[in-house]
Order: sequence, then C-alpha cells, then structure tokens
Amino acid sequence: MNCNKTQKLLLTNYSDSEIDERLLKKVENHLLSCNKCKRFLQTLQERAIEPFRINQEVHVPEEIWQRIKNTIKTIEKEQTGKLLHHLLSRIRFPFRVSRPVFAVITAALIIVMSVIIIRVSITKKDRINIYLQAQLDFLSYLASDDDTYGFGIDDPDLGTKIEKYFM
Amino acid sequence: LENIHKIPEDILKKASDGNIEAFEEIYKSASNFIYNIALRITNNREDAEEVTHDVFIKIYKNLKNFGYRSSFTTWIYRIAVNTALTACRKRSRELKRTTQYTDAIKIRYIEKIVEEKKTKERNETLLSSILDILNPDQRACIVLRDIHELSYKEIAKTLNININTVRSRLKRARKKLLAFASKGGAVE
Repeated sequence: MNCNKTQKLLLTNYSDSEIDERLLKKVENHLLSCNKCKRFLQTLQERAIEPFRINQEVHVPEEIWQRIKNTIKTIEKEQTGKLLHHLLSRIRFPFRVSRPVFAVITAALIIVMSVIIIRVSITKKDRINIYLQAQLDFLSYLASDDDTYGFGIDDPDLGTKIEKYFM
Repeated sequence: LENIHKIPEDILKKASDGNIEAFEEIYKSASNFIYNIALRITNNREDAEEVTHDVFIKIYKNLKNFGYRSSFTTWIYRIAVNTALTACRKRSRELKRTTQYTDAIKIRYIEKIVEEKKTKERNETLLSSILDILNPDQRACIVLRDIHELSYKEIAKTLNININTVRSRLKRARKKLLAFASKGGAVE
C-alpha cells in the first residue's frame, strides 16, 4: 500500500473505525515502516479529531421553553380560528352559492306558511262559532218550556214506533 | 441522548394528542441534546436558540405523523440537523451581504485564544473557532461523527445522503483543518 492510499484511509475509515480487518492490517503494516504517514496520523489526531473530543455539554437557556409555549398557544389559537372559519363557511355555503334560488324558496315558504296559518285560523273561528251557537241554543231551551231540546222539530228521530208512541 | 431513549411511549402518545405537560417532559429530556447539536452546527448561540425553538415546534406539529417508522432519536436527530443546516444557509446568505471572513482573521483569532489561560472557556472558544473553518455540511458530518460518535451509516441516514458522501465530507473537512493548522492556526 502506498502513502497516498494510506493517508486517504487515515483521514476517514481508519480514524473512524470503519475499516475491515484486511485493510486495517495493510494500513498498520504501512505505518510500521513509514514515518511520514505516522507523523501524518499524529497531526491528524491532534489537529482535526481530538479538538472535538473536548466538547462540553452546554445547557439550553431557560427562556426557550417559555418561547416555545407561547408559540404553541399562538398555533392553537390560529387552529381554533381556522376551524371556526371553516365551519362558518360551510354554514354560509348554500346561501352564497344559490342566492336567487334561496330567495325563491324563502318566498315560497313564506306564502305556504301564511296560507296554512290563515286556514287554521278560519277553521278555528268556525269551531268557536258552532260552539257558541250550541251554547246559545241550550240557554234558550233552559229559558223556555220546550222539552224537546235536542230533537229536530220537523222530523225528530225517535227510533222505533213504540218509542214514538210513548214520547 | 440517554434521556431521549428513556422517554416512555405513553408520553409521546399524550404529547401527540396535544397534552402540553407530556410535551414539556419531552422538552426536558431532549432540549439540551438538541441545543448542543444546533450550537455545534450553527456555531452561533443566537441561531442555536432559534433552531432549538423551531425544532420543538416542528416536533409538536408533526408528532402525530411520526408513526414510529424510525426511532424517536433518529427522527429528532434528523429534524435538529436539518433545521440547523437551514439556519446556517440563511446566516451565510446574510454574511455574504455584510462581511467576508478571511483565513487570516481566523488564524489571528485562534492564536489569541490559545494564549488565554482559562481552560474551560478557552476550550469552548477553540472548538467554536475550529468549527468556524468548516462549511455547514462538513460541520454537520464532523459533529455527528466526532462529537456524537455516529457511524457512517447513521450519519448517512440522518442527513439523507449516501455513505460515500459522508466519507468525502469528512475527508475534506479534516484536510481543511490540517491545511488550516499548517498555515499557522495551530489548535494546540
């Protein structure tokens, strides 16, 4: 193995322990006999690899969590706002899409409802009148001597002939 | 990362139904992990905060559609890395409009940092300066490989690229770092 190939492996696979046994032996054999590559490896370790091993963990500043929480609150508010807007737009949808149709349907409904209300009120009025008339008839019967209340004067239906006789 | 693996499935389910307390549990378990990925890839605290916020909003919105097709960790990795890369691209467009960083400025900056004595602070600034040499895609590969120790296969899956692209990005990134160090920007 020549110096060029050895140094290439020293820069990566050898230093990072990502080398197979066969290549490792070749590199180690070369290092035993080559001072130039040995110095290269030493310099590489001192200046490009070991400085990173001095890394000390730095603590995250405390205020970051508060900032994250505030952002989450804003996101949630926005999401609620979007949801409401979506719901409102769905409710408004039929009104927006077919306004003339909606106007026609509304007018028709108003007419139908008015007719129903008027008819109901007329029927109710008739019933009241009939009831009042019956009450008046009854009162006038009580005031008179007539004892045939409830029977028709012209053609009282008295059932059988015997019943007619007794009446 | 272990905290994320420990998130119970019922918490994920509740959070996906909009339960804010369950979502806070997820935040507590994953926020540092996401913030650190974002910080290393964007290499900017302000952007990392923005990315962390955006990642959690994406998780909140998409948890319903997650469907457990991949592991929750892989899913989170993917969202975090991609959001961070998007932030980088946005930032680089802004930078192009304002200032161009030159290697000479970076070298002087790193030399100045190395001279400083405060170890923890120096390490942090040094790491940030080294990451600044790389472009966002290379940075993502380096962060996932050297900081998070993901395999080539896992990196490929997270970034949705093939393994050869992962290998070539790592190679270019490391070559760049070596070239930069030999120019005078010694990292140690």
